[in-house]
Amino acid sequence: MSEIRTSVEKRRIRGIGVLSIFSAASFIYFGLLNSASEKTTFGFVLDNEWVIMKEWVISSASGSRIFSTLAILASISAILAYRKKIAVTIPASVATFGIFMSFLTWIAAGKFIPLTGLLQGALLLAVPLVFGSMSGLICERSGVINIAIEGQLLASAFVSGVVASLTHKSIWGLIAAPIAGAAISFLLATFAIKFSVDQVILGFVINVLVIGLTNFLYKKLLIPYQSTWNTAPTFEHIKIPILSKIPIIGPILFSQSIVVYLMYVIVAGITFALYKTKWGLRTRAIGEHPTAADTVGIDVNRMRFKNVLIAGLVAGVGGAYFTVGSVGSFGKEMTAGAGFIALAALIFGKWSPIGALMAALLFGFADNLQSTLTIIGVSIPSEFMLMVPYIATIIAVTGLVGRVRAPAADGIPYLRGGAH
Amino acid sequence: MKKSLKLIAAAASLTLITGVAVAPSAQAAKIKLCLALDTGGVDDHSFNQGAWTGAQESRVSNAEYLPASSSADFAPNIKTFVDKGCQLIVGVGFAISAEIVKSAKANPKISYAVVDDAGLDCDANWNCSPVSNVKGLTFKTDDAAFQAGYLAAGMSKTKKVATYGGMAFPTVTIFMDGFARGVAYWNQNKKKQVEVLGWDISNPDAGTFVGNFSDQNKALTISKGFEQQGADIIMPVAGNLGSAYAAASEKSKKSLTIWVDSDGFYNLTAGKDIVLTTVVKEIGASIKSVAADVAAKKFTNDSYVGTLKNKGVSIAPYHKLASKVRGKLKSEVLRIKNDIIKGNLDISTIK
Repeated sequence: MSEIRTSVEKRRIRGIGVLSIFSAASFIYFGLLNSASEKTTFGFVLDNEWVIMKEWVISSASGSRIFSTLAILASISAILAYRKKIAVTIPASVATFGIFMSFLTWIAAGKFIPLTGLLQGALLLAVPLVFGSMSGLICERSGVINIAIEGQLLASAFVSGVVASLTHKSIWGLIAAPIAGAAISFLLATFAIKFSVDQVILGFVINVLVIGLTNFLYKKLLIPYQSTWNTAPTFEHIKIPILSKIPIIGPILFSQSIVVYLMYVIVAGITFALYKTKWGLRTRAIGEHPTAADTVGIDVNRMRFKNVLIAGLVAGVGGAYFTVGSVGSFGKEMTAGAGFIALAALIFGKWSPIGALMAALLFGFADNLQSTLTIIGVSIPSEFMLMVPYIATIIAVTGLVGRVRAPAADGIPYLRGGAH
Repeated sequence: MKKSLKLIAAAASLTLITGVAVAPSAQAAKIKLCLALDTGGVDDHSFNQGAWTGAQESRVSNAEYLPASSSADFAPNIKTFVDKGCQLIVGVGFAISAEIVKSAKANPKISYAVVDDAGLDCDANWNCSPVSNVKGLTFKTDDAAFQAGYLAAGMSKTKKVATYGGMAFPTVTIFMDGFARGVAYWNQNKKKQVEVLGWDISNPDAGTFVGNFSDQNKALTISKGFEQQGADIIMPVAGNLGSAYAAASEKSKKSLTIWVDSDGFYNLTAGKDIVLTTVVKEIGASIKSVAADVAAKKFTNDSYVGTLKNKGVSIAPYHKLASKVRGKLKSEVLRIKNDIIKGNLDISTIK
């Protein structure tokens, strides 16, 4: 036990040290060495929310100094808090925010950053990642590795697009998508649980199958008969009264399509169910110690099968986001690897719903920040900018998380009285 | 254009039935024209599709194609065509160029062509020399994009226009570069300051890109990002990725779009009403031209260059927005075309 605490302590010291160095460096580099006399403009208004401040214009140099000073103060209080054995989360977050804002003020000299738009775009890019990681979470907490998230998302995006096009109602697309997700899950569950096939290989094969199948149908049906098969109506944005009027938060969180609201409900529901219900306890049991679960009378494989199907339903809603939630038509391989980033978010989030949600939001943010910076015209090569979200993923998974532990029985087929 | 659309539909359905489509033969003297496609498939709404449509329209040839699922398919596909006795083998896309050159050197009696590349034989140090039986099919796309950029600058109310690409390929960035120069020309002539977002002539390494040609959700987010910066005319150079943006913008009325490759007014199911114009690149015409040369035994390895003059590149009609474009601006855009054709205007000098 003492050994684990030491490693946690080491990591915390290292973290605070890195933050302090970065704060000081950002003060020097973004603040003092910033010769640009140009102004940075931050925009806060996106829609018709209440306006406290429309824009905030500040000289790039002094703005960077203000934010990095904030970061330095926060780093110092983090050190003090650590010495007094108080939680360092809040000062560490403030320091990170300060460093980031200092960077943003510096890089956007003479430009306009729509802050609310930046965050809203980040949320929208994160939506499929959140659904994908929730699907992975339910599977893996029950002991089944789910590499097939990409396939679940793609299949359900296809089905929801087609159903919504044929019925001219986006709601039917949203209803059909989870069924498609569950169908892919059925494949996964049958082979992984019934026939004990290696789950990593199985997941990849399912992804390849779905890509091939959707590409074929796309070519055979969606291209020649585009106007009947591939013109899905998208959901209108629902503005929640009063809440959607709150500056910054309103347009980001409360002026969205029904799919995004479903995301809030599903994440909250899974968090509650996993930790507070009988189902959650049993799910965690079959993922950690299936033999023990079996001895108290839980039918491990039956429960795993059911949970993998539920995971498919969840991923299906995420797939529907691509077509009826956002784009309005299906495109070849339109999920573009979101299922794999969702998997990374799951691991980064340490297999917990809130952790995975935060990780998915972070990846969405890195992705949108990257395009926003190229839009305002920073002189960094585009190929490098496109790597940023993935570099963030690698740093996040390897550097910041520290030791993560997968559910103990993750990926191991349960054979009653057998080898495991 | 409508005719070509029908042909696309016909081609697609024919392809479904036969796998490899073969145009019906009417004359005995037709040459065998074989297209080795790039990845993306014959229905990519882009260069593969344009090449195949042109090949089918060619009256002097029987055309067939082979799709590629990865670059590993290029060499075997070309080999298949050599064994089948094709008289003209066209590599569609610059990615396939090296394999075409390799095959051409081994089979000097067959004529070859490469779309979007000069088709030169290059050694490890990039010393390149032409090959006697390979013709490059290239396009001065930037000339037409220049017209579009000038038009956009003249139409913008916010004094901000934008462009972004799928990936930073030369065939993509040439559109963006020409567009930005067209805006610069407007600024020069009118003493105005219209800003281009997403591309900087003086820093061609930067620029806004989706990173692939499949992530429509990301493309949509990027387009919205441009609108938040105040851009009211956007040119996506990303194949089909721009279609979601065009549909969304038709509803929000926040911006107009300039489409690329083939006329967006006919290609888009939603969003066609906000297509200001299209920077058209007639890949099909280049293929028809080289096929005619081979049939008439006049094939040379001189590059085909699609220009404004030979209508290999052009800008499409304004369609529904024609009444919104001022007459003076229309005639200026037309004059630019004539100036470029006559050689009075070199767009590479505009910065």
